[in-house]
Amino acid sequence: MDKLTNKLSGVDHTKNIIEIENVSFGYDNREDVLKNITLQIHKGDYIGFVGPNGSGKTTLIKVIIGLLKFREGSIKIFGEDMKNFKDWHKIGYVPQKMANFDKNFPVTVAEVVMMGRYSKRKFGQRLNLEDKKMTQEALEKVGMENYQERLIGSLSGGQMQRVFIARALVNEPEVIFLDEPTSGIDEKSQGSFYELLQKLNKDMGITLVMVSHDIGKLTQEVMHIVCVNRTLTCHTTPEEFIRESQSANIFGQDVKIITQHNHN
Amino acid sequence: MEIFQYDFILRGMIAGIVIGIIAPAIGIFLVLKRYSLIADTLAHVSLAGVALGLFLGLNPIITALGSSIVASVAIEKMRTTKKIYGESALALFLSGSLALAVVILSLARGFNTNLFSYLFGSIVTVSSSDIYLILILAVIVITALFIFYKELLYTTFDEDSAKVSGIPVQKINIILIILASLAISLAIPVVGVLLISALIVIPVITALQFKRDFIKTIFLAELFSLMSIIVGIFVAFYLNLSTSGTIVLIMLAIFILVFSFQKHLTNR
Repeated sequence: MDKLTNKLSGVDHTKNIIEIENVSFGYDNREDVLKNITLQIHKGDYIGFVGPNGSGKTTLIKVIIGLLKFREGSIKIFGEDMKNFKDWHKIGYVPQKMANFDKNFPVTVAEVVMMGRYSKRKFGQRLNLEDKKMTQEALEKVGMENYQERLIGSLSGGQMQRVFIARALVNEPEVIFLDEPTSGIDEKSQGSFYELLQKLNKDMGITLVMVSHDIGKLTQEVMHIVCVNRTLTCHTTPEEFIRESQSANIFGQDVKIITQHNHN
Repeated sequence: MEIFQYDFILRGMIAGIVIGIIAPAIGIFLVLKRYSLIADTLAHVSLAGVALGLFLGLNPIITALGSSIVASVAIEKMRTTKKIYGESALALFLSGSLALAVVILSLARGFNTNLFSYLFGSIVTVSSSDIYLILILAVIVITALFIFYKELLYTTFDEDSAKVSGIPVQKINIILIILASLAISLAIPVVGVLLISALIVIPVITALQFKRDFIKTIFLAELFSLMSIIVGIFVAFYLNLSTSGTIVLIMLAIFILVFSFQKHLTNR
């Protein structure tokens, strides 16, 4: 399957873009939340991180993108040790927003997307025409170009999440990390949201790494499933994951997996 | 007009207008970051600074500035290391500096009346050297806001994403909190320690009711702020009332008006 998509999109799936070696993470002096994580993310991958609540899947994303400092091990991004890595514009991030997002924050959709360009410009420098053009293009890619002047808080959950995707897209990133992007979004919008992600991955060749609790939907969409429960307990295809999850204990402890499409 | 025959009113008016411009410009970031209470804490820290200045015979605005900058950086460090809850750190500094102020005052009596004007502000106390100091601080604050506008906005809106995109959010947070101490120190002579947070918070929450984009919200906040300060100084002068109290009450009245009107609009 990997080889097939290879040919279709011209993306070299053998190229490592992120290499995680024996990484452990914990808060302060408490015990490890993540232990001995080793994982490679290849160019063009579409990976879903799954695991029970508190398993560390969100933490793992935050460690990879440098929001949390790991204790041991090493992380290389595009071949560069993370400590020396400078090209952060190649990395897009869509944080878990819906839960504690301030709906009264006075910014428009266009302003939110432009924020993605801020780090490209020096202190005191204003955004230029190129930034505005990129903002337009990013909004068009997610189909939100007609909502530019709307306040971000006035949008539906699905529309808002598209705007955050556009903000990640505005720097033409090679990889986007998404943390529970569909939580709080109604089922219909979820469908078109996943279509958008497929477009980013298949047509634009963007690597996607997503955390989700919606295992049923995730297994229909992604290329690889990575099970996280303090350590990595599986790294497999969705088909294999579904098969194994019915017989074996995939998370290393008694965790029930719901594979039907559950929605709340 | 009769009011402008007095130099001190003119000085007070200039100081008031400058503070009226600065306070909401800093306030919008503090309010949206849920940092509103930090203004109050830093104001109390400034009071300890004022007491120290009066005791040592130094310019109280400068000692207030020094102490609030030191405290603001310490508070931010405590918040980021998460060793102490954010609001507990604020309470610690608020009560601690109030205690320090009271103790310094009891050490040296004799400037109690002077201190009263620092508590509640009095445009009479704005001296001509204060005006220069206020103007210099104001230029620093406004320049810094222009330079770091993008970074402040992104960090306020979404700290994690800002950090991932390469913005030095820790430095930006420190800059914001130092700017807040500058704004508070320069506001002390006019509105006093106890009412400063009103100037920083009320015009901003009034402007937020209009649900506009970021720049328009700042301008609306500036409008309400300047309106309240100018009208407040006039009203206080002619009715012989406390200037700071009058200004804050006018701000509150505008907020209540806008808030009720806003509710009426959204209910339709």
